[in-house]
Amino acid sequence: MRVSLDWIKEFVDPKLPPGKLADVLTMGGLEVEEMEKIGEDTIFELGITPNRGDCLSVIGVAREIATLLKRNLRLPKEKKIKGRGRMRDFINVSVKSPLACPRYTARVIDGVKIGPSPGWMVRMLAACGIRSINNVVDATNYVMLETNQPLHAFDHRFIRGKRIIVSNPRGPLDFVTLDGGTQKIIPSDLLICDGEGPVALAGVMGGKNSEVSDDTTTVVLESAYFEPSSVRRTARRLGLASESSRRFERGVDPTGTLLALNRLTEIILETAGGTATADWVDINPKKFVPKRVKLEAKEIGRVLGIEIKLPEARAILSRLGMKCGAPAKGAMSVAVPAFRPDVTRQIDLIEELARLYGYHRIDETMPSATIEPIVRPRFVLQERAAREALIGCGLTEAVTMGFSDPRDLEPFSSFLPAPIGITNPLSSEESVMRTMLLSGLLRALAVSVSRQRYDVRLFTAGNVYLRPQGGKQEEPLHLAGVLFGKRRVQSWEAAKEMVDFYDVKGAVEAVLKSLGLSKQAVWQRADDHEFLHPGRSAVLLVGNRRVGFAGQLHPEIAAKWDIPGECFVFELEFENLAQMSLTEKPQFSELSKFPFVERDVAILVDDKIPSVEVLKVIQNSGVSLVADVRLFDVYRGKGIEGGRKSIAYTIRYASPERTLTDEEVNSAHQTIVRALETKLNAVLRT
Amino acid sequence: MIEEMMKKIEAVRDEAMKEVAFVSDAGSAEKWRVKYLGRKGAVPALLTEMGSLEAAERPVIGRQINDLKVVLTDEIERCIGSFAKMGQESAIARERIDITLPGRVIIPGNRHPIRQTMDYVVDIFTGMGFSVFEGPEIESDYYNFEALNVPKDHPARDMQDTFYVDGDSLLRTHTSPVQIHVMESHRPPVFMIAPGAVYRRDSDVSHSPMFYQVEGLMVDEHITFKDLKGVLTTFCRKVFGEKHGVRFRPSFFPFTEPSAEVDISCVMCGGTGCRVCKMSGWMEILGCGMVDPEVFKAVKYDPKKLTGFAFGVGIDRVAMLLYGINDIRLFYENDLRFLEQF
Repeated sequence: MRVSLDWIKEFVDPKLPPGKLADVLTMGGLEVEEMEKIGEDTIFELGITPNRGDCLSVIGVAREIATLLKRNLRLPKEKKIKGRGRMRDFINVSVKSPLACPRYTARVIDGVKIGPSPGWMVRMLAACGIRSINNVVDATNYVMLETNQPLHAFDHRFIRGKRIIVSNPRGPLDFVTLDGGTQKIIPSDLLICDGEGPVALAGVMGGKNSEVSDDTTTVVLESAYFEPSSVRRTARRLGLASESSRRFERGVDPTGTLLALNRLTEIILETAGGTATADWVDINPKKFVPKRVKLEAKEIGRVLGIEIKLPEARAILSRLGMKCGAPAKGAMSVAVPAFRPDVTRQIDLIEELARLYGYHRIDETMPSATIEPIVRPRFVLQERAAREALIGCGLTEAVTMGFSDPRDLEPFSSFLPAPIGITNPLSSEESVMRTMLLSGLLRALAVSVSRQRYDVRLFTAGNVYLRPQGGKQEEPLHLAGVLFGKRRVQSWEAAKEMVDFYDVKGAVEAVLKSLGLSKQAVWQRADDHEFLHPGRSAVLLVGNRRVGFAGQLHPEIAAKWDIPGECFVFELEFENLAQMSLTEKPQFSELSKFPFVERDVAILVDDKIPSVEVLKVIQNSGVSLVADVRLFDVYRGKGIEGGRKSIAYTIRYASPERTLTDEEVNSAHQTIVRALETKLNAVLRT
Repeated sequence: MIEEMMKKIEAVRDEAMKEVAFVSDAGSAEKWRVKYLGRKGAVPALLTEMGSLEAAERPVIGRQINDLKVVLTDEIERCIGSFAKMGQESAIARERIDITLPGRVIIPGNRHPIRQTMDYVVDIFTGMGFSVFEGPEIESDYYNFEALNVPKDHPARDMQDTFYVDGDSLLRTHTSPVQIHVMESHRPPVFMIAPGAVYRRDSDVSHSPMFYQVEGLMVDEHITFKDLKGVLTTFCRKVFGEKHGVRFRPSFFPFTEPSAEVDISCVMCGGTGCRVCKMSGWMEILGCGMVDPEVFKAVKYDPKKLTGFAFGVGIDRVAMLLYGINDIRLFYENDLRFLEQF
């Protein structure tokens, strides 16, 4: 809220320069967010917390300053306003919904002359960010800013049947408010009605049909207490937050209703002339009873950790307008003033005590507690290990939004459940929750490419949001990556090798290694992933369970993202993967004391035979001396007939018990070569 | 006879020593070795001549020949050694590379500044004995608001503009719902933090519709506001430096009472006042307070026995201050020029 220091000074003299006063307010809980100098005046922009509705007024802020600085508060003098004529000759007022409207006061001024407001009023309103309209409307705003009590003025001409009835409508109806909007009213909305229908939306906004205009001569002034939650429900539902509804929602002073009406009458008579009625209406069936709250000395200590004795507490609370009874048996009763509806419990009093005692005067201690081993979410350590592995592979970590553009998920739709939609998105690009991470990474890749960055390696770890049809909603952790452009960006040797399937597979293998799952991984052709290149993609199985995919993004989809070239991607269901890593602790095997012997074998086989089949034949050939098999060359082309490839392995032979002889090794190697020849139709290259 | 042999030995020695001076490489060294020490060389030839000597003379001459063999062997080895050394030295002298060419490594990727900051903050709290919990991002109204003492139709709901999703759910506006989940499923004492993504309907240089928070909660008997100040001051100093100014000022959150905002002295100007801190010398860093008794009631904890404090740290904000980042949206755009700076 914007508030003028000159105006505040009408009620309290802070005796401090504006900057110092701002510090006092901020440290007292009324944060001064900004200060602005306008001529001699200073405007404070205050961040008023929702519990302190009383400080949405100049007097409220002045009272707070008086409390914080121990100064006197000078409230405006109540003037007795003499008048002529009786209310009943102008209007009849009744309240039919007393729960939503516990108090309603009204008074009529006849013979007003609508015109511009005096300069001092225009200036004060402007300082507080309110535009001047005319002398009557400005007076309602001025007194609201001063006292916190929202006020309204009706043009008496348009009050049909000369009746005001505060009531809820029986059924839905349309109503045009001052801003020109047509509101759909429902029975829970409290209305101010005349003899025929609504003239105002209680506590929220007046009606177009009874608005004060240039030729108004008689005004009906309203000052009321409307129930906070009723006003809030209506204002929220209609999207009609106003200066008035903001104050009613937070609770205005139920004992200040008539004071504000009198103050408004006084000011209108001064600025617009006319004659007030001699009497007024005050429908107030249930008189306000101040709330009494018990304050115990030991409870102060239990919460704050410091001792504030009850006499000291009493002195502090009295400055807030609280009436404290005599302390007895370590407790006292505190009566809370009507302008502080937020204080209802002992803890609220303790907060006020702490605030005014000063947070800075409360010591710092470290809690004494029993040490217990901490727990962490499942898979946190695995997630960190996997992230580090990918960073080690040269991938940079991205963090993408939980939202997604539904169009970005479209290419993957046959593979994923329908995304969870956001009811009130900021834009259509952020209107559903992501069901996979990859789409967000592709967006990041597209951004980089559009900014002339053509070598991109990114990964991200994050939740996806799934609500499978008929299933339970869940937010599993995924891990995804994208590789695009040169394999070795900073290399001056291998000039222009581009990333390919084996780079993305290698990144996934690094993740598997970090989880201790290298041996359990099985790769299969990804024939049902239509968003991937069918010849250059694979699904990953661990423990017979599909846990993700890796491969080239289908060129048609890459084109949709304007990705100019081959793009390699992976996405892993990380929790399913990490779960398996928990069961697999590596077990030590003895280190051999004997030397090994290595023999190479190069064979020609049909190009269609996958390398893993060759490996299987070697490992399953019945030779027990094979300690390790390493692929070192794959070659097609010149010198090799079409449809075949050359594939070469180094086989390591060793025994844990003895040094092998040449004869043993030769015989083992021969067995393997024969197995390759018979099982794979391989031809030994020499 | 013995003199004759001695002369022969001398002659072989003299000749060998003379010739060794001309040995200049591995080839000529081998020739020399073969000539004198080889199987048919001069020294073995001397041994065969020993047959003509008297038995008593043989050991004397034998020793002489043996000495000669040792001397010559040493000499030629010394020679070969010096060639090798010279060869190696000249090779080393030739082996000059351009040490200014870039090194050949896999350049590791970069960690995202938000994740770095998150890990850093989480590690500070786990180091102080806080356990780590997570909770769902798609939440119910009950956990996000009502259990945290924010009833429907309460103005405090305006503090956070909420995204709603299909069905009766919303995107959590803070990580505080995790407090409720944890207290519902654990007996006190509870020392926990909850890191994670949160959502608010707001987007500008200092607001992102998704951002990261760490929630904290410490509940036990005898936890006081003094402990809150102690733990959070320690945290701020661990993050921003031991000498950093920290202040607590009164504020309002529906789920804590008393509540406080914690400011640190401005990281830009050090507290003298600048544009970034709006001349105040302070920057807001986290919100906290003593757990409101209503929250304890919602999870069936006894507010008469227990006290506790809760806090929420905006990780994006901490990262912006630590790295001097001026636009929160940069975190989520993933421009490599940005990511590679951290």
